Amino acid sequence: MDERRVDDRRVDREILEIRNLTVSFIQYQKNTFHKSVLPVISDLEITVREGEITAVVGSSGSGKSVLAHALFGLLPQNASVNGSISYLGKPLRPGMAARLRGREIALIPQGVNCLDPLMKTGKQILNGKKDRLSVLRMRELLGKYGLTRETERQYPSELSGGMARRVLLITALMNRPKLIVADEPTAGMEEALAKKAFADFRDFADTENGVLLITHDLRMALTVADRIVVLYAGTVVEDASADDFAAERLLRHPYTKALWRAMPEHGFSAEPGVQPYVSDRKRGCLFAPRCPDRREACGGEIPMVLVREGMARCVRCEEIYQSARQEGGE
Amino acid sequence: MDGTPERFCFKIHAQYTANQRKKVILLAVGALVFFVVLVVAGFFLKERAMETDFSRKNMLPCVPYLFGTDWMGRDMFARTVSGLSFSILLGVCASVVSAGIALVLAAISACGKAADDMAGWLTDLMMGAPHIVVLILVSCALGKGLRGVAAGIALTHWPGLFRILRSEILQQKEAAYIAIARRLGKSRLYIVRKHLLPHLLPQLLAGLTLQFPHAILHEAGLTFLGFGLPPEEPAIGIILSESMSHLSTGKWWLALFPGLALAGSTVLFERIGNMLRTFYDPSRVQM
Amino acid sequence: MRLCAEHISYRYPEAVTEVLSDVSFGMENTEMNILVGPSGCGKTTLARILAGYQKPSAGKVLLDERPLPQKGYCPVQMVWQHPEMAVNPRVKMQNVLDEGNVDEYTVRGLGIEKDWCGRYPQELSGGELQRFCIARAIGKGTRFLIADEISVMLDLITQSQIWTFLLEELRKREIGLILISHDRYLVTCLKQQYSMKIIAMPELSGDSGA
Repeated sequence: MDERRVDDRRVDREILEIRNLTVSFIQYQKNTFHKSVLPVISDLEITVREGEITAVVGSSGSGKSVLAHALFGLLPQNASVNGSISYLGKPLRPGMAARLRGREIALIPQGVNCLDPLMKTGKQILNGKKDRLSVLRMRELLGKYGLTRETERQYPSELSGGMARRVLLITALMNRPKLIVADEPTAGMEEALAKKAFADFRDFADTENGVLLITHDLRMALTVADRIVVLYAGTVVEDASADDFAAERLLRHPYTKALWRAMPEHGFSAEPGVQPYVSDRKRGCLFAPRCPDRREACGGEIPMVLVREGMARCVRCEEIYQSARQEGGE
Repeated sequence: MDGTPERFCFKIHAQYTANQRKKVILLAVGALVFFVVLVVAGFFLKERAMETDFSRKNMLPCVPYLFGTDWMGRDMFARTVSGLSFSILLGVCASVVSAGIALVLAAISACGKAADDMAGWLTDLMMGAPHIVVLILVSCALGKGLRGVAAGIALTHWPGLFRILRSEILQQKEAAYIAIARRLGKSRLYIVRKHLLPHLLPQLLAGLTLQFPHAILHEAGLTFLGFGLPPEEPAIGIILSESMSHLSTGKWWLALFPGLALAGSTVLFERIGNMLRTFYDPSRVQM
Repeated sequence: MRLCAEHISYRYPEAVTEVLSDVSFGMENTEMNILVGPSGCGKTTLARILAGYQKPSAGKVLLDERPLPQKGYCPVQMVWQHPEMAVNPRVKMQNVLDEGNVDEYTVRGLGIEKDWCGRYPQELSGGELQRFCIARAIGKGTRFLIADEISVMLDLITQSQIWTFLLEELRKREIGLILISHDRYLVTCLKQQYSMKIIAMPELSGDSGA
């Protein structure tokens, strides 16, 4: 199955391609006129392909929510964005992004609290449209996700958690989007419900669409996503296939490996150090201070390199790749 | 597409936010200097404002008399400046006193249900009657004149600010960090000082500044209606009410310049108050 | 020291059904327990009642046969799920440490850096904030610690760093622990490594005879 996916990717069309994305906030220092530039996201590279679920995994402070906001133009006024985002091969300019948002690119927000408590569900899904076609589309989707027409007339407070989440999904699907961006879609959800949510995403992706999943929960991401993009201190350190997480040696970046080792079922190892805060970030590899094999080259610019069908940003990647191949050969 | 999408770069209102903080502080300092100069000038111009000279009555605005002169030959510029200076002093006293009342009441209402009900009842009483009526009642009861006006304004402006402070306190009382501090054995005083005040002070400061234009306008209004200061006092309200009867005879300058000066100062204070409020808003730390 | 919950019931004001009905529970300060149960079964409510943040509608919480102290330092402390809400956004982090009377050793053990203390909460990440919140809760007077989903929002490395330090410390100082977690893997791992006992929430209710 792994082989098939790798082959597919070469022919698959890229729905969303983010290259060298940098988002900075300009901020005043406390009680002064000095402004400082905080690079919340730097040199981010993410690709979502047709038929794929890509999960962006990062802890709080890694810049993952800023990424969603940047895609949907929800950044505050003091933000500056640099880099390129392309959609279906065409550069996505701010004006065009506004047109595509909610149509071809849909956001599923974090909580079910995003539903208006005073508006009937049907009205919210239709979002102001009244024509027959839209109503038919809504009924079709409701049926597809096991909801009855009764749901249309209910208020969000009358829906169960799982129903409310499906309503959010249906709202996103109304305009037949090509790409869904989901920000922590299963936060606070029970396992069984989360599994259903994932099945819905899988269904959507399998019909030549793409899903970008933004989450802090690596284990959840592993159960649903095809590719895992690991975010650390505002940049991508590794872009790996979900299957690579089966064993530590298949992984590429030392941070991802440390993450793997810290999983309770893989030894619960507690390596010291913390993710640096935005204003403390220096040049070079941001994981270097915590890395067991850091070297001088870690302080310089480090590009993303292709390693075994995945990408990683580490000076040792080439070596690691070699040793993994030897191990694998034994 | 050749696979290398062209680079683009966009900056969102970077210029706009760039000087925001400097602008706020410059404006606040500028306004403060302006008001201090106004108050001091008013003090020195008071003699001149009272001077009557029938040889120069009803003059249009010209170089020696910037705002013209009235039917008794008094210099309207001097009258306006000293009127404003008087209003500002009165406004400062009144808004400081009413902010004090609001803070004390808010603190009391935070103590318990009964105290909160009492304070709420008092607020409803104050806000139930039309403001100007309450003002007239209070200032008449306290013997009109300067004392009556000052007391009237100081005693009727606290409800708005009190409500803001009270809702802030109610919200804070529910905050997890305050519950935690209590379980850690911290005293009431400690919690008020360390957790509550940092939230209340910015509100108080902004509220105080926003209270100011109200106080000035009400002083002018009260005087205009004849319940306020004695007619020989050069106050804006008196200037405006006196010039009313001369407006129909075409002496437009008598009301226009003092009116504009009053409107200008109130707007300036309003602006400062709103800026202070956004300045302290934690969701706008970038400003 | 023994922490006891006797026949506790709780219903929200104006609600019909009870969140907790007749729950009894007891533990020594040398024990470490994991509280499990389906979501909505009242684990968090029980935690808040045990730590004295909420008053039960019926029943009482006893600490060595005496009710929980309402004033002064409460020997039962709780760490909240969302650290962002447990610290005052307008107060610097040093104050959090001062409030809990935290010693140098704990600060170092939890990996709190000096530089963070001069910052406001908005300038720190969730993982960093949670370290402060944990430090604050394990001051000198603490005999029992309740941890309600304290590591769900943290990344895996931070999670294992925090638990490794915290559990060693609790064992050394004989502080009892009630751990609430949904994370199956975490529960299994901690249970094995620190020989904790698993308590199923539904079994605590009166009718099932606890």
